[in-house]
Amino acid sequence: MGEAVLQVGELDVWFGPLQAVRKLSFALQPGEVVGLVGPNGAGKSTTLLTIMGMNQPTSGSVRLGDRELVGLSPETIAQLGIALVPEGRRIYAEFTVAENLRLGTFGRRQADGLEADLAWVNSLFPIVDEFRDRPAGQLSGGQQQQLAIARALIARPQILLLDEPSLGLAPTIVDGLFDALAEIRKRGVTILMVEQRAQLTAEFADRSLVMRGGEIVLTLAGDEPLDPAQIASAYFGA
Amino acid sequence: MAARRAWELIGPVLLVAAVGFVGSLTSGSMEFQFRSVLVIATIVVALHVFVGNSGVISFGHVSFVVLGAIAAGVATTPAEIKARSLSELFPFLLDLQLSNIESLVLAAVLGGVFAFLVGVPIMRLSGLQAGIATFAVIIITNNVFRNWDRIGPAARALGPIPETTGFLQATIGLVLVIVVAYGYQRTRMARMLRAAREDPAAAQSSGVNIYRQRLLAFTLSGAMAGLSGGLLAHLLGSVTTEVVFLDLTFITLAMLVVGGIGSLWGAVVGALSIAGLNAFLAEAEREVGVFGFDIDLPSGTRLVVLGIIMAAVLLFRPSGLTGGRELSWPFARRGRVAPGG
Repeated sequence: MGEAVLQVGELDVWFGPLQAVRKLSFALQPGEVVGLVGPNGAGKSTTLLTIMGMNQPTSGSVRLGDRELVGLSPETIAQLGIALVPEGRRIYAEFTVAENLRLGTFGRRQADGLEADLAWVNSLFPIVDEFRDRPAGQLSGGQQQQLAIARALIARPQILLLDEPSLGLAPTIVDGLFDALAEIRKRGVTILMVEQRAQLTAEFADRSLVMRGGEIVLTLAGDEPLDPAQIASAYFGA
Repeated sequence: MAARRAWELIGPVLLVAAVGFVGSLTSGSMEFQFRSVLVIATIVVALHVFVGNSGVISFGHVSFVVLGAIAAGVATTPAEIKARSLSELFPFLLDLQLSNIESLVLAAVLGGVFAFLVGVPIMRLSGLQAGIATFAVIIITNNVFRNWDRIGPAARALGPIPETTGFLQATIGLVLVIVVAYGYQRTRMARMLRAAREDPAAAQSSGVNIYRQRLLAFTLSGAMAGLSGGLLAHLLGSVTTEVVFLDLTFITLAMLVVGGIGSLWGAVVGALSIAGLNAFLAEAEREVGVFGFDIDLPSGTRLVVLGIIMAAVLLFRPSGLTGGRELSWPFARRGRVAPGG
């Protein structure tokens, strides 16, 4: 194991009397794809949002290299190289596709290489170029998801956080989405993805962390055969 | 594409020029009402720069208007009159004598500086909290100006202020704020602010510092409102703090809502149409002849009618007369719908 690019340590997140994340610790290695799976309310999305600075943890740390992220604003974290594709896409429906993409550049740390990144994103998601002058709200769900990922990628992030990227999409569209994620992985982008589709995620990711009740209850290696009974037990308790 | 974009500026400017031209052909009180419409529209466009781009309602912009009006008025009222009727003013204000243009620049600068100072704490707020905080600003500003006779006329009238806001100045003033508002809208900063308006969380995760962008727009908008105040002072020839207070706050917001809060075109259309109606109703409250009929409305009709129109627009066309969209290119073809997937 080399030096982790992101280190989450002993993270606790409370919403009033409810504890959403309990003493959560894990690390992401450079270029690694890690899945966060588990039942609703397990604390998966809370974990992503806390890494992004949108929730403040009660205690614990999130370190990007040797930089502590807890206490920093989301925009600062974005500028440090973490991009979030939020649940439900959250594209700007009234803006054109090109304007949506341009908004992604605000998180870029360096201006050079933008043209090349744009060309790559366009090759990855041709609709981004094809419908560039169209209001993003007119795109289909799958196209909006592609745009949301393209907008995150144009910031040239070190780490890509994906929250339920396949939510509400037809199976064939999901297959295309995972093909694109495979291309993104080849570029060396570290990916942390929250997904409901446990099997698909476990097969795609290098590791998958199964969460329940705010804790990691099982770690699945990508090359291990899945044991449905073990997963069911992790999801619903023994 | 370039022509389409240019049209978003040219359309409003042509409409303003047309109103200015028609107004210049009138005379008497009607001529004054036309000039008023142009100046009120300047305030609305200034308001739009912040409210339209940020989505945060400001009840406090008239604070910057009153500051601009009093600053321009104090700076241009003849020194001998100030020495006689406003002798409590700070000595440097008694001595201050500026030209018309200089007084407008001063009004804009003071409006911007005041907006910046007020914005530093308030722009951290969002939604209703921000609206209430800006309302507090207009209440505080009004009370300070009404009671502190070292900086203005206090409860008295300030004047005579040179009435230099003729048709040319009123039209140029409005076109200037439209051009600045359009120019700002095209910037990266305004795009960031509109992204934050659409989805604050998504904008932040794209690296947008919402506080900084709101403060910048608030300051620019405050400077434009200050300029509008200067134009207003030079239109009226006399200013009291009550003239630039809650009525003006209500009516300018109503214009923005009726026109369509999210676009420059909406601000211009809302301002010109409602200011025109407002001017007509104000005349009708004092009896006016239309096509041989005498119309004499009871006092207070003006605000009642405007209130009903605002409520009706909110009910039946919530995004305003223009739908909150910029003026579309008249020669555009309809685009095809994206295939599903």
